Amino acid sequence: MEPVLEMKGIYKRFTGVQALKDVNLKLYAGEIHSLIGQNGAGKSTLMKILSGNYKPDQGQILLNGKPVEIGSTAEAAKLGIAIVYQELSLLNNLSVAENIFLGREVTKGLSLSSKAMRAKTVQILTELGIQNIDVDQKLEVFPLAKKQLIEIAKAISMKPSILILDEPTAALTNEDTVRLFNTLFKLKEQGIALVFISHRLAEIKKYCDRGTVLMNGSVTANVRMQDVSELQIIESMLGDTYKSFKRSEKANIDRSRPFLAGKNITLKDSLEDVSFEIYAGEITGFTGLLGAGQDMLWRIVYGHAAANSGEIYVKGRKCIIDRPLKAVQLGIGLLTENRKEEGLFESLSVLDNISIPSLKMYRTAKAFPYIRVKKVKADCMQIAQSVNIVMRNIFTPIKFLSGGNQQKAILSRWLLKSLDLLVFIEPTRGVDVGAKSEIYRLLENLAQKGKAIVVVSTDTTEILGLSDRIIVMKDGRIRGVLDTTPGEEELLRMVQGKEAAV
Amino acid sequence: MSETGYSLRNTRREAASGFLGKFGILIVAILICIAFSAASDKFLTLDNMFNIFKQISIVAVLSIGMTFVFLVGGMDLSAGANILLSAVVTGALITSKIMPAIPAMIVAILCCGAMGFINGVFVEKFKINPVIVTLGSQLAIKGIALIILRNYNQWIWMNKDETLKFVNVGTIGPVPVILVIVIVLYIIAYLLLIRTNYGRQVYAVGGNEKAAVLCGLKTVSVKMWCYIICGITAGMAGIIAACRLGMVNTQVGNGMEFDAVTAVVLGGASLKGGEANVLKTLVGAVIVGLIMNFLTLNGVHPNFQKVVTGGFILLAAIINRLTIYRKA
Repeated sequence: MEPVLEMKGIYKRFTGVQALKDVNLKLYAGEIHSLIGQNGAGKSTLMKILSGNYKPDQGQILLNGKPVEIGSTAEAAKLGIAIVYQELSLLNNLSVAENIFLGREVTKGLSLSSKAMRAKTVQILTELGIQNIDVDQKLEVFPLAKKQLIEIAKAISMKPSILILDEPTAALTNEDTVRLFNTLFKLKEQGIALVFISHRLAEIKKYCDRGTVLMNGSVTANVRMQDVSELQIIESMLGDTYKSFKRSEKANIDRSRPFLAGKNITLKDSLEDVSFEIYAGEITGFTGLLGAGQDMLWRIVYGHAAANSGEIYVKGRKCIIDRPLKAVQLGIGLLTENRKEEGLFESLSVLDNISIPSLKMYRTAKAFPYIRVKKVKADCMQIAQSVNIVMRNIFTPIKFLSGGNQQKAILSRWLLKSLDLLVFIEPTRGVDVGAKSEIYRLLENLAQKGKAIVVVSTDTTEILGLSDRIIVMKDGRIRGVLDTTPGEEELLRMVQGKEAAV
Repeated sequence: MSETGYSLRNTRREAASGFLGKFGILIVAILICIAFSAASDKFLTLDNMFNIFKQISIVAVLSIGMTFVFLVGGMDLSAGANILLSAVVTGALITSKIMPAIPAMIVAILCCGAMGFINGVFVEKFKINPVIVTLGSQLAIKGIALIILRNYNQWIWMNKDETLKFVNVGTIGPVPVILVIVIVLYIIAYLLLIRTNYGRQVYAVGGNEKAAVLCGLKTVSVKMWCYIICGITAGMAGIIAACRLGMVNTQVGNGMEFDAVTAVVLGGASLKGGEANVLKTLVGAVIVGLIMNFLTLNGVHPNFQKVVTGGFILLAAIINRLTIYRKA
């Protein structure tokens, strides 16, 4: 059988990171093809190339055997490639029919033919086996799962031959997932080639026909789902990388007094009765699937999100942390996974990026706001050197640094302020392999110096290599606290929500 | 595999953007000067240069505060009305002999600072769009000023006051007092932005508010102070206007917020916030002044001058877009 679409020898490099290396992918009509890999393995980059968002540095795309250039999303759509992103692109203030025909409204003369659009929408939805949707309703009334189906219907209305779904099930319940796949099976029957991206191996194994496994930008396996076990998939996902970082020695930690304790933290629909303790000198790893609640938990502790109930104790004293300012005053610093949106001051220099939260300490006098600039610069330089930031000089705008160096710069921000607890959400996202182990080493050093470190990550390899203690979360609850390092498979099984194989 | 070094391409890109970003506007100003002095021999004389500075002094001082507001991604359309309020308050207090000139000026500045505070509360506490807020406060402030002015038959003369006269015509050495005031205010603003905790926070909050919140900065208070500063500088501009004119009537400050916006945008400020420099704003104000002066020297009708200034706002916006938003 000839593939509908073939990607050959695709290379893509971002500043400082080789995102894709010689990647080949074949899609066949009437099949669900899964792209599998850890965060940062290159799945999204590959799909963004296919949908015209990125241009590959090298490589060829063949559609029905003919080479094509995909310069933009519009061109991709013309070639019959549709993509449904994780973040939905629908507009809440428009009706279902209006959403589906947005930008391609059916017209009769000069006026819109809403009748025709409505009829067509109903037809599309019925063909997909989607029931109980009033096409005149505004989108805001529908739950997320329905919106997801409507988004797919919108993509299908453009009659694509290839449909890409980027983590469509991440936020869905099991029932909704089954319903989604019923719809996808209908599309399969119509001869559409589907690409399915997900972190949930069980789903992939159950519903997909083929899979391509990516690791650090390279393809490690091409599999037919019926021929492989989940375990084999996991092995090709992880490769030998998890051996690349191991803690040099794990410290003896005094667990008599926690630096921070969370008690019964609850947030409707995302966290339920979560209690935990964090100790100085220890690296605590929080892991779970995307949306299991580990990152939300830490945003709450940091005062960036509010919980419905729960208490936080710092050094045994009950504290109310309702905004990040309070957390910082209590000695807690947080680095989010969205470095660009929530971490960097892109137009400012490395110096500013490191020093801004600490400038108050450098005032010449309390009442006089003038800053001792030389002292600030000297201190920042020292920290920048100690974490090995590669830059032209400290006045370089931070946007010119690579991902790894930017991350080190934001980390330096909290080092200058000498906080006691540092929380890292996905600390190595968008950071290349070399800088990764450098950052791991840094975190280890910080823990040895007596800081409490929290690493929140969906990357189980990272969590295993770094943590003294691992807290696994599932559906907003703590599923287990592992004091000793478990095996990779055991951890993955816990994360996926199955019983740990002992 | 090791971290890739700091690439040459980046260094070049950085150097290019650095140079154009730093000196682009100054080069434009110098080119304009050369062109104008070639066209008119009256143009490039010391007297005319001082004259230009006196002419732009009101807008230049107003533009300082506008720069702060632009830095946090805001807008203050009430700045022109604040000029009127400040001039009216100063004039009323002096002519009614309630207090001498200096305390009257301080009261006027405080009044305008309070107006800035009210703008700040509406924009930052109630999260209302700054254009709408300051459009409303513009009308309200103007109304207050006109009510006071009506008690004085629409004109307040204060050309007899010695302090005001000194500001207008006095010199320190050969340099006019007004020029000294403008320069000193710009130096203070520059140091405030570059060398103080607050100034750096303004850039941080304007550049990335989410990140600033996560850094533990008091973003709301940082932004509110920008509106207060804008009110204060508008108050100072109003006093300069009163000194220059020796009187105040209903037309003082009318539409001047737009001249300030032109200066700030010409100075390369980003409309999204986070990028602006007071020194470049000053050059922007000078460019506006140079052009108006040249047109006046050549006897161009004021109505045509308006067309030219309007065109300049658009031109400035295009230059701004080409230099600022052209990112990697």
